[in-house]
Amino acid sequence: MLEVENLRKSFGDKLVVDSIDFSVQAGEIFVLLGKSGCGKTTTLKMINRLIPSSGGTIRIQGEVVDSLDPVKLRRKIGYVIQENGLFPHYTIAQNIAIVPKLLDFSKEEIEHGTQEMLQMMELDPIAYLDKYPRQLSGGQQQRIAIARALVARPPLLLMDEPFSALDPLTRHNVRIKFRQLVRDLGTTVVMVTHDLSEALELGDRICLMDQGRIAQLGTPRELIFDPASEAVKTFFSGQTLESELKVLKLEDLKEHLPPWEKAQAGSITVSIQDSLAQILEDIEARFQRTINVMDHSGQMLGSLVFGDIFGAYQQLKNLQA
Amino acid sequence: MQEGNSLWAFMLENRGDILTKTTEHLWLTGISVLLAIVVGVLIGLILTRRQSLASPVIGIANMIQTIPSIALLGFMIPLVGIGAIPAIIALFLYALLPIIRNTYTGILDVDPATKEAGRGLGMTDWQLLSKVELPLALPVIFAGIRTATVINVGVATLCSLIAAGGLGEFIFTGIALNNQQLILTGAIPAAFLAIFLDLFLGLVQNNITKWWKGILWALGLVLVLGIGWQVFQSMQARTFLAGLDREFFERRDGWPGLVETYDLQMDAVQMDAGLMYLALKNDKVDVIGGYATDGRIAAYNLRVLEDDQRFFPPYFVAPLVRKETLQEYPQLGAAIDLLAGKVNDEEMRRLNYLVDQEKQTPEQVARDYLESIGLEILRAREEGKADIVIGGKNFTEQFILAEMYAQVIESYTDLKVQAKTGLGGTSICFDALQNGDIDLYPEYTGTAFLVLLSPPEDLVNSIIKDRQAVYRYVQEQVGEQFGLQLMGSLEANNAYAIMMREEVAAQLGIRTITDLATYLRER
Repeated sequence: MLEVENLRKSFGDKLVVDSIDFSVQAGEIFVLLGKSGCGKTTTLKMINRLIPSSGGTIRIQGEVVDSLDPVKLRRKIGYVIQENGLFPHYTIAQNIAIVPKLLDFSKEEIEHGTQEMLQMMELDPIAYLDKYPRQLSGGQQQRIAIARALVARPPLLLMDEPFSALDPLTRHNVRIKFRQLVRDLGTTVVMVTHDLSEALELGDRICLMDQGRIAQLGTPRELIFDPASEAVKTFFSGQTLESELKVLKLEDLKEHLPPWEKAQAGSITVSIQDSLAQILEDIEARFQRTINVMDHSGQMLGSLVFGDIFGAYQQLKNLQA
Repeated sequence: MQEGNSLWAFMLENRGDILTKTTEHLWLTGISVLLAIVVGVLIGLILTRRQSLASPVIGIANMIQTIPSIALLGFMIPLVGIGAIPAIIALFLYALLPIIRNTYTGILDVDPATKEAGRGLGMTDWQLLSKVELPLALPVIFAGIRTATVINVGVATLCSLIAAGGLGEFIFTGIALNNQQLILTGAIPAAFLAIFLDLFLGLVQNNITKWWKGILWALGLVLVLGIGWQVFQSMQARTFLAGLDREFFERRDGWPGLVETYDLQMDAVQMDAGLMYLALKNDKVDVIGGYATDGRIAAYNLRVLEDDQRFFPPYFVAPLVRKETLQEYPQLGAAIDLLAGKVNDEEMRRLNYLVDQEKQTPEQVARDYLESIGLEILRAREEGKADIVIGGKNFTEQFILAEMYAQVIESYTDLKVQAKTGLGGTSICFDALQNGDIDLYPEYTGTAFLVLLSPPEDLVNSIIKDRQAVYRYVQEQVGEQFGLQLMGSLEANNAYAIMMREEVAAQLGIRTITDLATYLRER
């Protein structure tokens, strides 16, 4: 879907992106992670040519972006930024309709698309279409910004710290809705963030950048359990346990778990694909010892107790050490 | 109450004239602001795209703003002449700065996130400008336009100084003639015009999203038609034209009487007394009504036409002094009269020339003259508390005369003198004298007779041409009515004078005002 080869960017003498390569699969959520100044945002903006590259090649669906008209290119790529960038003088409906209008969609198509996007973002079209951005909460504004970026169904969506300005609870909710939406639409996402937990929660793969280079590229689990260098380890230090619980799914502990007990009525039910962090949150919220587990298709597998999970986690850690 | 009523009656009586002048004023302001909007917004936009140019360009606009209006109008005369076009150019220049600056900062202040989002969504530069930057910067741009408009309504009053018309004609004529009613007749409509235009622009601002197409069309149409009309007007061959200062234009011993006496058939425009000479020199007018002793007559090679029917009353210089002051300092009178019978027209013209053209100080010129006629003048004026305050009006000759009297008094008495010159007109000097703010000032016999004393018309007609009779009447009346003493007069007669450029006068063989009238009739 997206191939980046030997991409470079220098501002004057300063090399901010230093010959990086990666490729993103269709439908994947690909996270560019790193501290500020590591070159992640510059990399992102070179993809839609908001920043011209100093060298290297970027291909989207096989086409070299430097050979395309930048304006036409951007109309085919969704773009969401941290400060949401909604036009304050446009209503919600007008904001969402910007790209479809640029692409000369018919009036009916635009209306239909706008309503559909709002419903997908769980916002009532009737209540919101004629409002102005300032009348909405931060979380609602960011959901509108996502709807605006996706309404023309771009195959690729670029996001720059999209959830950083939101408060933690809103952020979590918006992230969940967002992930569901892009999965449903099959959109490929490249997202920049400095927030580790956001990267772990959303990313199918994470590209950790440091000083313009790729420090490590892999799944969240690979980065946590198999850091490629001291620099990578340092990046996670202090958040190790939290990170591990986030990247490990119950499924990953399967061989260390005792046999399933019979499912118990009235106990909470989790999916075997849930992360340990998610399961801990659920237990914490409900004060229950016994947990029913089902597989990804919803088939009940049986129950276990919290101690079983903890024991299995210890065994996995011992194995890795 | 009485005054309010009479003002209202006066305005009603002159409503046609007020309407004409208000329309002229609106036209000058409107067309110049419209031009400034087009050019200013464009420059502002270019600056946002070429930010390195911003500080030099805004610096230049700032500099233009600091040029005094009257000076800017003066610069215009040699370049584009007099009338509406130089006025519109000057007003346009004044309106530029607020519009450029507000467009520039308004666009730059648009949230960068909004601009980035617009670009990221695939807007072209033009779309970003027209759909995002301009609409969001609009309140700031409009604030600039409104500032420019209100400033221009004010500055446009000054355009009457270069014969561009407008409400300034009432105001400056009123100031020259000390006529409060006339001043208010100009000032009140000007104030309402400013308020009205501001409200109107506010209305446009609030509805611009609905009206913008209509507004653009109207703007374009007005500009094209307006500029076309102005250019067409200026292409028209100029008629034989007189440029007159507004006091001369209105006074009965000025233009109206002259036209009647000589049957002069020519158009006249009102302008600033100082700019008038410049306009004549630059061939923008053909005749001016100036003053016989003005230094520029020699400097600009002008010919004073002989007043062969002796229409203009005598204007001999004679100081008016408070009698109280003369009683307190008996030695004063003799000192002042040392100058009686001195300084003839020719000499006065030369002294004015030395100050106006040779840039000598009035103090130096006065001293050199006094010493040349054998008076012994102290080298340095003494510091300390003044016993006597000398006033003077705001033109060159008065500065020199005030200085002469000051030097003579200090050299021939033990009194210390302070000069308060540059007072804006006859009435201000006279009021100051009556209030005791000044003790004396150089007046002209004709002015004292006609302006200060306003004698009945038959008396005027019977003695106006008799120098001695006028002098005696004034001396008697200022003593009786105001407790003032008219001292001995100089030989200089600074009467009104009709003048032309020497080469034109020579070519047409015009020597007297009668010659001029004949030429105009036969042309």
